[in-house]
Parts: sequence; structure tokens; C-alpha cells
Amino acid sequence: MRRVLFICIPILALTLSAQGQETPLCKLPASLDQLKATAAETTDVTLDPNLLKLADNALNKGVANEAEAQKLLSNIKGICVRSYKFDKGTQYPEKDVEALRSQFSGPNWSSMVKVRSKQNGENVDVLVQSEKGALAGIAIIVAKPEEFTFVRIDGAIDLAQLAKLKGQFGIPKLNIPGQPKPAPPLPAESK
Amino acid sequence: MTDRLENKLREALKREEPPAGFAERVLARTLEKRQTVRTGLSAWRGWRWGLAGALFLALVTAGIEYRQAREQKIRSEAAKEQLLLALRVAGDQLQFVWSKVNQP
Repeated sequence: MRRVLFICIPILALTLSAQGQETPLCKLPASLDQLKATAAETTDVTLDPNLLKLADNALNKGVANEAEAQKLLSNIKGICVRSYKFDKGTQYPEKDVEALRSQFSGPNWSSMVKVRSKQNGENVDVLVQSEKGALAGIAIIVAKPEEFTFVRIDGAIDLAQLAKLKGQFGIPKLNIPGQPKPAPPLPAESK
Repeated sequence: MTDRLENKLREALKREEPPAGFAERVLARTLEKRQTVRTGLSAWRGWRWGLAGALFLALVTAGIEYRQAREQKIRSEAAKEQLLLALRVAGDQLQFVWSKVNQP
């Protein structure tokens, strides 16, 4: 009986720990992380729940775009951005980008957009995480010859709210099914 | 008559030995009085120092709290800038993605 317990308890512990494991918010393969050393321009942002709360305190509800950002923020648990721009001719191994993509191959993750362009070498991946039928996170991996960008937003993002930001902060207007499209402008009257 | 007055005066002003322990009693009372005055003064000085200490403590606490609030505000503003930057980059990348997807 003791021998059985000796074997079962570690297995149970390992299983439980494996189930509980989530992809860390900002874990890049070491070789990609080291790209910042050679990058001409680096954007490195990590916002955990504490920093998001601090940012929330500083957002001005009276300013329209900041109020919208505040609503968006209410469901976000973390944001990670790693963006590196390189001088012409710099290369980074595709296998490292593939290693990053493989982090989002778990059962809760699915690929929403996958673009591979041999012509200009631009590869794009948008991966979404779902939990109980709702969106729980998004990961964007953009690999261009002279630019690499990784964006991860952890949380129940409301894409409709994201659309409301309407180009502010650079957020594009998104064509979400079910959302009413804006009416086309009226033609000018001819005289 | 003058003699009688003189005798009376002499009698009245005659030196009398003080009762036993008189000098000690007077000295003891004098010391007691001095101590009472001293205690009064010390109490007043103690009050002043206590008040000064309390004021100093209040000022230091207020200063620390003000500094902490200011640092918190600076951290909040910095976090807000980081957030706006992150949203900007995310938006730029989404825009790029949609342009790729919608490419003919």
C-alpha cells in the first residue's frame, strides 16, 4: 500500500502542476530575447496586474479615449510587447520564431490568422486563447526581415470595445460581424 | 516708670534658645520648598519637549506620506505611458495584420 502511495502521489502532483501551468506572459526563447542587443530600435513593455492597476489610476475618465481605454483595461490581466527593429541585413533564425509560436499550441489556443509570405519574407500569426467559450487572450507574432514584434494581451478582451477606440492609440477600426457598418458619405450636390 | 518700661523691653527682647530640632525643621522645609519649585519647572520643560517631539513626529510622518504619494503618482503616470505605448504597438500590428489579410 505504501509503495502504491509513493508512486501515485508524485504522479498526481506532476499531473496537477502540468494542468495548472500557463504560458508565462513574456517568455521569449533566449535567442529572440537577445535580439534587443543588436536591434536599432527596441520597444519593451511588460505590464502585470499591479502595473495595470497603477496605469488605471492615472487614466483620466474625463478624456474620451482614456475612458474607453479604462473600460478595456477592466478585463485585461497583463500586456507584453517586445518589438525590435533592425538595420538592413540583420537576420534572426526562423526556428526561434517557430519556438515562440509553439508556446501557443496548447489546447486553449487556436490560430486566428496565419500569413506566410515568401515574396517579402513577412510572416504573421494571430493566436487566440479561449476559456469557457470566451476570449481569454491574444498573441500577435509579426516577423519581418527587419522587424520582429510580439504582442501578448492576457485577459477577456472585448473586441467590440477594442473597436470603439476607433483608431485612437493606433487601434484600427475592426470589421466585427454584427456591428453596424458606418453609412457612406453623401455625394456632393452638383450645381 | 521708665525703668519698668526698660525692664519690660529687656524681658521681651531677651534672647531665647530655640526649641530642640528647630534648625533642622526649618532646613527640611526649605529643601522641600526648593524641590516643589524644581518639580514644577521640570514638568513644564517635559511638556515642551513632549510637544516638540510630537510636532516633529507629525511633520516627519506627513513628509513621508507626501513623498510616498508623489512617488506613487509618478509610477502611475509612467505605467500609463507604458500602457498607451503597448496599445499603440498592438494597434499598429493589428493594422498590419488586417492589411495582410485583406490584401488582394
